[in-house]
Amino acid sequence: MKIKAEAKILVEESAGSDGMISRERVAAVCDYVDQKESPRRKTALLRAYAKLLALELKKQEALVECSGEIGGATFESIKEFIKKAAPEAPAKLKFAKKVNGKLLGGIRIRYGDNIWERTVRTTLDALR
Amino acid sequence: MNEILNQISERISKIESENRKSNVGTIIALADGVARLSGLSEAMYNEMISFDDGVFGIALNLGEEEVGCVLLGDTSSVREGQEGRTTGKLLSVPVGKELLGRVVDVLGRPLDGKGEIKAKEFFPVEKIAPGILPRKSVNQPLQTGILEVDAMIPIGRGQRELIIGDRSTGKTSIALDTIINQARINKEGIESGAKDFRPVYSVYVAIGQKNANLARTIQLLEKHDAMQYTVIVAASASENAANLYIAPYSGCAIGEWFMQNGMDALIVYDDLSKHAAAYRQVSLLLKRPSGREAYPGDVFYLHSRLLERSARMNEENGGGSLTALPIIETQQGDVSAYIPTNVISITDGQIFLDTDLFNQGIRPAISVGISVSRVGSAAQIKAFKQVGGTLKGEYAQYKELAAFAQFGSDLDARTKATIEKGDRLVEVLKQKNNSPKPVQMEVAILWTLQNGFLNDIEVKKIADAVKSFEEYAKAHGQEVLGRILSEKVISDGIAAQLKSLCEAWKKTFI
Repeated sequence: MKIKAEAKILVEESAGSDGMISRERVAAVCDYVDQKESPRRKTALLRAYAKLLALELKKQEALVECSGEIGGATFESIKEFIKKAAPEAPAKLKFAKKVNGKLLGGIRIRYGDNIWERTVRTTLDALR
Repeated sequence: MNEILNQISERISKIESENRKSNVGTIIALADGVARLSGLSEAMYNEMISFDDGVFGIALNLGEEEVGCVLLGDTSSVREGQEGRTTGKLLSVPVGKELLGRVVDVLGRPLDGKGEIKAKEFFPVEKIAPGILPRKSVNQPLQTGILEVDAMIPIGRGQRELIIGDRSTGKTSIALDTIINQARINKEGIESGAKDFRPVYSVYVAIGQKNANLARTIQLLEKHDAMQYTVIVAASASENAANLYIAPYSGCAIGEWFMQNGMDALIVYDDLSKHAAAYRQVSLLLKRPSGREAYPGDVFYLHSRLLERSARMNEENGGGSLTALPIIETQQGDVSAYIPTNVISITDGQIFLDTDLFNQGIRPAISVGISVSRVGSAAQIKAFKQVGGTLKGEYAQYKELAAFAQFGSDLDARTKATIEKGDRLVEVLKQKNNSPKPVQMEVAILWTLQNGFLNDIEVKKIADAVKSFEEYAKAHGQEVLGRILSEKVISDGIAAQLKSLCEAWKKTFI
């Protein structure tokens, strides 16, 4: 089997039934590769696995940036918004909050490769 | 006051709704105007990707993990690690009459310092060519003003005629003469106020040319008052390969606007050899597999999809047309190389320029034998067919006999006559740079030749005789020239008038 295809399978195996990647499963996958593969192939496979895993991990967490602190109710409504906007997201999606003064006002949500943004900064940039 | 505030808030809300969601990627590698981005999982093929500082790119390679993107414009501010965002838009350029008289870059931004272009419309750079049904066969001439072309290789509106030849054989001159001639015809037509007059607007796409050459071209067009009907799309040799690759498509979009709006346009691609080389560079940087001469496999499609966009539309679709004059530079006259054969097979004919003819002083150095217009006489006015219908055959016969006569053997009277007429024909067809002739004058000159009025003039004096005839006809033959132009056929009356004009001129020419 080609390294890329095998790495894909390993990434799938690293995720549990809830779609979340766990530390234990990743360790088990690494052990499996260590035992089964030849030293030369092992390195290439682990590199490809790490690359794909990094992309997958991006989809396990959503980052919510705001120019100030976000209240609990607002944060909950943001969570609901992301679940609707990205139905492919795992059910146990992690959410992180970050205060970013550079936004000047408004909110920016990042999930995977997607960004939802409504900030004063982008509006000013667009006007410029 | 309220109106002004509403206007601003409308603009802000429009921007806000535009930038609500975007798909992003990070530049992981950047070289020679090509960026590889990780992410951009939702990017579409040919979609515009925006970077910081107003730099745009086009997504050309959609991989599973990364996207290959060619960058346009000045890319010096782009760095590794920067983000690129999808825009949901295809690359578009401003189009419309506002661009006439302007020099723009591949994104339609002005380069001439004449201020902002206030275009009302934008057209996508890549567009599917019109299908079969909205088209019409080519039947209206596009006068180049070059006697040899108009008489023997006529070009019609909506045709694709390739200009091919080695370096410095006069390829660009033929294209520029055609643009200058269109400007002259436009000016005369608009001044005459004729209702059925259809001006031809020109688009000149400079691909990979030196800025000095481009400046010379602009000066030339300005000198002949042709810039007011012309748009120049410039992607000079100093720009990155991606700009050179996009330039003809941008120019085509600008020309297509005229066609789609029922007008006639002419587009010159100068030249497609450099365009193919630029595409090869982009493809190699994108790590696409290479084929013959290291060109990618889709290099035929590169030019076919561009040239298919030139068409003549039928009346239900506005009746507009886009005539293309692509230029190809050959190496050592080799027309069987990869790119020349591709473009020859796509176009509706070719004008082949020969280095040997050029060096012999025969200019334009058109090799009539292998030049052809597949539209043929459908794109000629009847008067031209009357005086020039047999010209190509006569010329070919002359060439054959002239080669034979070089052996110095005795020739019969008929062969001698053919050679003598041929010698005169070659002299008549010689034409100076940037001096296109009106169609009525071309017809009159050929009529003079065909009816033996130049037979008793020495071959070396033919050029002077033609010049003298032109001056005489301009001064004393305006009526008959006007009749040729309006009636488009040489009737007995016109023939009689031409005869008396020629007889009168002969008395003045010593």
